[in-house]
Amino acid sequence: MNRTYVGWGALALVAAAMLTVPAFNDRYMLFVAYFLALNVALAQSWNLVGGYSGLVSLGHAAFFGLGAYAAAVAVNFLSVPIAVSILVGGLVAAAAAVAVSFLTFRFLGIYFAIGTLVLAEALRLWMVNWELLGGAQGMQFPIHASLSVSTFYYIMLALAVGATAAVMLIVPSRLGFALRAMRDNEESAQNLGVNLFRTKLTAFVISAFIAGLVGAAHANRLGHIEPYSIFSASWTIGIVNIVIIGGIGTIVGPVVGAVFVALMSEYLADYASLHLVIEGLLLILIIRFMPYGIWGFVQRLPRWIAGTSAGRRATDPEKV
Amino acid sequence: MGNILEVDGLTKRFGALVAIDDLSFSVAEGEVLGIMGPNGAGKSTLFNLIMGKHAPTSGDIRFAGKSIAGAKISEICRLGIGRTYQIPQPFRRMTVLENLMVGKLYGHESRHVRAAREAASEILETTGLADKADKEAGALGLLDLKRLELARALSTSPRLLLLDEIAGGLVEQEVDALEAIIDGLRQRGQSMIVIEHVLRTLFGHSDRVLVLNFGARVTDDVPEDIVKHQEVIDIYLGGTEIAPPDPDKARPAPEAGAMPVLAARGIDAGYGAFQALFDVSLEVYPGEIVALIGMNGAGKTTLTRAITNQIPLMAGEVDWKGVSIAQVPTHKVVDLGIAQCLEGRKIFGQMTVEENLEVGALPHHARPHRAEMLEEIYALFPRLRERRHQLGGTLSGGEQQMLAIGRALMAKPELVIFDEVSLGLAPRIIAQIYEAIPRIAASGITILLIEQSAQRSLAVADRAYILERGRIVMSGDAAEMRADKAVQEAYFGVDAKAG
Repeated sequence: MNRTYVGWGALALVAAAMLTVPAFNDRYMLFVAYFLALNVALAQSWNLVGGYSGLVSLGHAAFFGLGAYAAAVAVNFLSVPIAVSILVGGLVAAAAAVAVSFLTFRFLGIYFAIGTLVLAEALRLWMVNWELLGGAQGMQFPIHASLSVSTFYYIMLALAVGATAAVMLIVPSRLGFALRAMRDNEESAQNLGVNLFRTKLTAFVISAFIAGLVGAAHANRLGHIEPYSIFSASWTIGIVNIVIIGGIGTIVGPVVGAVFVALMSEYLADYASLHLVIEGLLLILIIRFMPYGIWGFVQRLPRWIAGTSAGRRATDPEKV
Repeated sequence: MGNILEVDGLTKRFGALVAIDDLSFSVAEGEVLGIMGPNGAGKSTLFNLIMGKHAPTSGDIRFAGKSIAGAKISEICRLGIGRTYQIPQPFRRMTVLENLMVGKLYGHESRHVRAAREAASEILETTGLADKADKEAGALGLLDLKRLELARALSTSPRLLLLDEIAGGLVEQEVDALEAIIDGLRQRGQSMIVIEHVLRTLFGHSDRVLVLNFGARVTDDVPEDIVKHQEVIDIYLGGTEIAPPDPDKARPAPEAGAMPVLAARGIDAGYGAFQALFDVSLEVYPGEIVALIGMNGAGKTTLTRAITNQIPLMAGEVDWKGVSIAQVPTHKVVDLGIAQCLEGRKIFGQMTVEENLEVGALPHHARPHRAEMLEEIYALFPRLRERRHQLGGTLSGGEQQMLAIGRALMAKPELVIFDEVSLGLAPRIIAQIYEAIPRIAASGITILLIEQSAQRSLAVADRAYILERGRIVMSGDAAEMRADKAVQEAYFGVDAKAG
């Protein structure tokens, strides 16, 4: 029980601190903080499937992009307010998750990862060629309806806090038990009464919904979206990176990972080519020596120092 | 009291393989049914069918009067069946308590996490896991994993419990600890189906024992009488399908006073805390066929691993021509002249028959003889010549076994270890393979034959050892052992005349 309160307290504290960022009146700082929030929200949503459910989806960019386009359509064709367009983005992404689930859940393990990646790429190519939604040119948001940069920051911060809170609520819940059980051993989970399809679908839909919300909010801020960048697989790779660095299957991990990646970008900004090399190297080192990422390592540190065989075995990647 | 489970004309085919063959039996409410049968008899497949992992090809399974054939695993769980696996399948990144909570939350409809936590804690008490509640399951030792396996199956409060080799891999005191739990369940009237290879354990728990072979029902009886059935004795000790040894085997008898090529002296070996072999000694002389016989789990494969240095010895020594091989790494063992034909065949499925054989000729001394060895092997198994360009994975089980034997011989070994070469094969194929063994020996290769079937291996061997629960319990001249009734008792590890 105590640990739960600590968690919520920490979330409230971080959120409150982040709320003060616009007060510094530093546009660059606000920009960095905005992307930090965006990464946290996306990483949390991916962690729910990739980290807690064992569904390593590489198609997350599709839900993000669908959210963005859904918002653009809602704003341009239906003239809805921004808040509604964001909600529409989430719902469309969630609906897409339902639609592809019947196909993708037939794939297991690595094939699921590849299958989702292929679907996302196919969607990107489709959007490039779909003239109704602007084709390769993309879509424009009406400038007069836009909001201030700080407002978009608050929206993204709310999404980051909301996504983190959602994961914090789901993990210790009945659903959370099914997700983690399914991740560790699908057949054993079924033997204990877990309906695999329904459980996978629930996680997938929640995750896509969040990614859709984030995509929609981001599209509104950009003011113009085009398929190559909004559906780019680099969104997926970026957040998977963040989750693995921070700690896959932990709540704090995505936050730690997002902060870590943001700091790296800052300090290595002057060495553009070196930046990626170092990030890649770090990723390899972390996978090799901290299979549960920075946060997982910190969590296990006391046991590891004590040198118990239990601690060592639990950090053994082969046992995962 | 009615029947909780009724299996009626159940058949399961995987391609051409009939894993379960028109099987019918029932389990009464509160009854414990033990199931025995050799490796590949279909025991675990039967559990997979009852639990819904596989759908039956034909036939019906009724649980509490309702057909469950073809239902989803999770539905069958909720109806009231729980199972354990031979190899524990825990949720590794969850704690012991959380593992049990999954069953409480989903199998037993206590939807509230707090209630599930309390209910799961009660099971921890009865299964001896109370002090491990908050430990990550991935960090548990084997005994605790087995306990968790049982505890988790109980977490859904099943009306029928399927236990698959719950004591397998444990040492005696540990087995006792689990047996006490199972006895407790039995006294509470828990209906169970128990698969167990240690017959003493199986008989201790069961009200009735059902014997399976090749997926079909052989017979059933009370535990006291089951090994008196001639059909059961035939299955384990082997029928009469193998011709008695050929009088003109034309092999020189081992010289008196010769040095053994292979000698194991007082070997203790195992895995981690689990000891599988106790003070095992055996000798193989040049030119001999020596049989090592034992049931599932007697320690036969562990002994092979110990001999070839794949696992470290806890005590004792293995000598090759009088020199200890403790320092020889596994991949170099084959260079000494020891080849193995592993249980489960392990051929390379994506390579042709001929390529598979050529890979076998990797040791330096074997490479120049590759072509002539190929010819010898094709002469031994003409089927392989016919299929030389076919991919290994497309061969039938019997052909794969021939290929595995051929591949072992390609290394031009002095000693070849055959580990369960007849496993899961049809009798006709087994006869073909057993026909080849004396011919291999006649070419001057010494053979260590590791087998479940006593009669079959005694028919071709010169001498034999019987391994039971990790100990050599009998050894001697194969022809004499064939006639000896005591072999039967030593083999089963239970007194067949008792009761």
